[in-house]
Amino acid sequence: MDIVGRRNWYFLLSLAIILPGIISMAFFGFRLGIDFAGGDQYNLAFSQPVQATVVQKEMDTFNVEATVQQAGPNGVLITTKPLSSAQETTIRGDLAQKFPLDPSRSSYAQVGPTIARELVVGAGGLIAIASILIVIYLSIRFNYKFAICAILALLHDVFILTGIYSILGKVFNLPLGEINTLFVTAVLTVIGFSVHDTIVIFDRIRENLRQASRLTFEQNVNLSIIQSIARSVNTSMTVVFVLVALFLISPQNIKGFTLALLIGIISGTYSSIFNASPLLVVWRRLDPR
Amino acid sequence: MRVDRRLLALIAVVAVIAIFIDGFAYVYRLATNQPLTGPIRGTPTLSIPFLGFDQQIYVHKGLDLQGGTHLELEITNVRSGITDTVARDIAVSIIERRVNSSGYAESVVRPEGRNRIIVELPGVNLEQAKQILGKTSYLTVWKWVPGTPDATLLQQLNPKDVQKYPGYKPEYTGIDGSMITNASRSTDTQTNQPDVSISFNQPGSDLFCAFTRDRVTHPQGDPQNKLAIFIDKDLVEDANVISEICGGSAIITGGFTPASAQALAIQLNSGALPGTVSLASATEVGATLGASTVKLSLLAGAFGLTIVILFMLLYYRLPGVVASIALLLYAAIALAIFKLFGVTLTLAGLTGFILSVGMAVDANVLIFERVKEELRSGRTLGAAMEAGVHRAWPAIRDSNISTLITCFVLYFFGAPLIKGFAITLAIGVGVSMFSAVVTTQQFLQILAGLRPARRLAFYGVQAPKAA
Repeated sequence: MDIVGRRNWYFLLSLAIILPGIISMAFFGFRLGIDFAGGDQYNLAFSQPVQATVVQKEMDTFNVEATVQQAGPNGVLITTKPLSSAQETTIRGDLAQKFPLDPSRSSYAQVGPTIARELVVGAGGLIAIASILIVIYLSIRFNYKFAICAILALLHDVFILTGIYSILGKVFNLPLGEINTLFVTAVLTVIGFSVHDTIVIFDRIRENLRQASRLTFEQNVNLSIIQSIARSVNTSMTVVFVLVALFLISPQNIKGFTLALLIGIISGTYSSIFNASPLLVVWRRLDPR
Repeated sequence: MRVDRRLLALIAVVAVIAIFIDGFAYVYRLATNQPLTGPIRGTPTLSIPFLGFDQQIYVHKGLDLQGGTHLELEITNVRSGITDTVARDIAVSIIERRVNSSGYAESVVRPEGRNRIIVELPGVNLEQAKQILGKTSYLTVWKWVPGTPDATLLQQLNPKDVQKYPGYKPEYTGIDGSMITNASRSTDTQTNQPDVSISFNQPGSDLFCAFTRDRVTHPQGDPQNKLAIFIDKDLVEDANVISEICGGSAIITGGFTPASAQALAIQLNSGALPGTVSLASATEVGATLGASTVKLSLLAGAFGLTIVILFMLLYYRLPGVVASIALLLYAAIALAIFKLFGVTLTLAGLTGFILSVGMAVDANVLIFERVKEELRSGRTLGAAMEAGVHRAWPAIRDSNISTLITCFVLYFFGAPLIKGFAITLAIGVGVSMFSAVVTTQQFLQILAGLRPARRLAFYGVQAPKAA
């Protein structure tokens, strides 16, 4: 198997997914959840089937920019602009009166604009700080080239994930593609996993390089990838199994979260095998010191 | 390398303690004569007096898992003369009092950042929560007069406090918290002792002047010399009046520590919040919804564990058994740590934990792949196992440290939800270093010493499919 030799094909495949994502992010942005946009969100469960369109008609009478989405036959997800305390009480009372509402299975969230602003700044900052510290650690343990390739693979995963979510949320207009705090958690999880995965292969390369051999750097990297591919695939498969199960059984409000983890873990495995290590080879060719 | 008996003993002790703590609810039920199923009475608490150990042991569920309301309040327009953080702390103590006086168990009120307060009310819906927070506590100043308290008074105030001095009853002076413009901790310039200074508005100042002029005529030690401050129903201060106080400000002295003086100053401010408190965010989760999320997570956890164990057994054979034992030990230890240290589990936290299960397995996969390689290159079983652990270690170390770096960043800079994720992931990674490396290594060494376990086929090496 010659993975390093076909590296351009693998880079191309990554770009084929990342580019549409970047275009979508640049032109359409994200479908922001209330965590980021501010606003109120009711996740209502009913004791009988209720159509989202009926609830939408009712919500339109309040003039609060409400969007209502179906969440299973017996539930809806209502998102509005930020409501005052009085408005909130009125709407809730009205809905409870007109629909067979089951409060114990429902949830509600409100996020004010100040908190929302902080979260946007915070999420980007966290990823940046974590990346810098990881570069420093990997530069000490390996060298700066390894560290930067690991971070490039990490950014690859972040872009794949955010790009796909931008497309899901804006182009396909699916509630699944909503960006909220749970999505940020998913991105951070993926970062942890991606670096973890990359390091395992890098460790192999480091070890093989130390041993005197007649292999070129390129052959060495390819050998290391093949030596660790069983482990990478095995570990990822177990996590993917768990996540597929979670995705299928999870309720509407956390489906987006489990899907993000699923995409991210697959992307993380792909990038550590097909991007991070081949990038080392590319760098070595450009700068053979 | 031989089996290290001390390490084995350590593993056994840790396992026993972890299982004891995991099953502590049952121990507690037996000790308190409760049936083993059904709802539990009281909170399982473990006390070991001679070690000074006294800890409640149960799984702390976050609001998203048990249902309830989470509020984030923001204080703006802070009264002049105090800083944001002081205003925040005053507001925390006021809100705490309101929440506690409403009798909600396990509620949390804590400062967050410079001007935020987080309030968590399990089992309470948003409407109830707004009512609780909107309740203002009421400060009143009373004097002691001869007589016995009547039924109205006993109902209005805490009966124990009303009957503090037999033969005397409190009588309202007409001074209340709305007349206090500010209270702060200060220091007596002569004795250097902490005290509390209060300023009144004009009506308050006049009333207080007349009140102290009257009180000071009674000898010290006589209840009639005293000034009694009630907040809501409770007596919080019962001080001697030494001289008449006119001119709009008063100083309360007597046996304060800096902390208790600060506390009283905060309580005296209780009549009014120190600024505008507004709702920055609110989350309400229905009780059944929380319970179904827990069920879902448990299901996913059990399913995940089963798949992982099956996979390890089929793919790695005998070492798979070792990995499965290590994994179960890992789950037991992590759960015990969550219970023992009161780590609050939320959905994000559970995700962190499930991810760390993946990393724990990964450590074993790394070790076993190396062992296989060493076996193929013709080493003996014992040597292959030693070399396998040794050569897998740098990868395990570096990958786990980089994960811990991420956790560290998330914990110190992240929002509360992200903090929960960081804590469980970090605990998981830490425990996995012990369970998946130390434990696995020892168990592998035991295996290498057993004659029937020496067939290479048990390690999936000669079987052509596994190679």
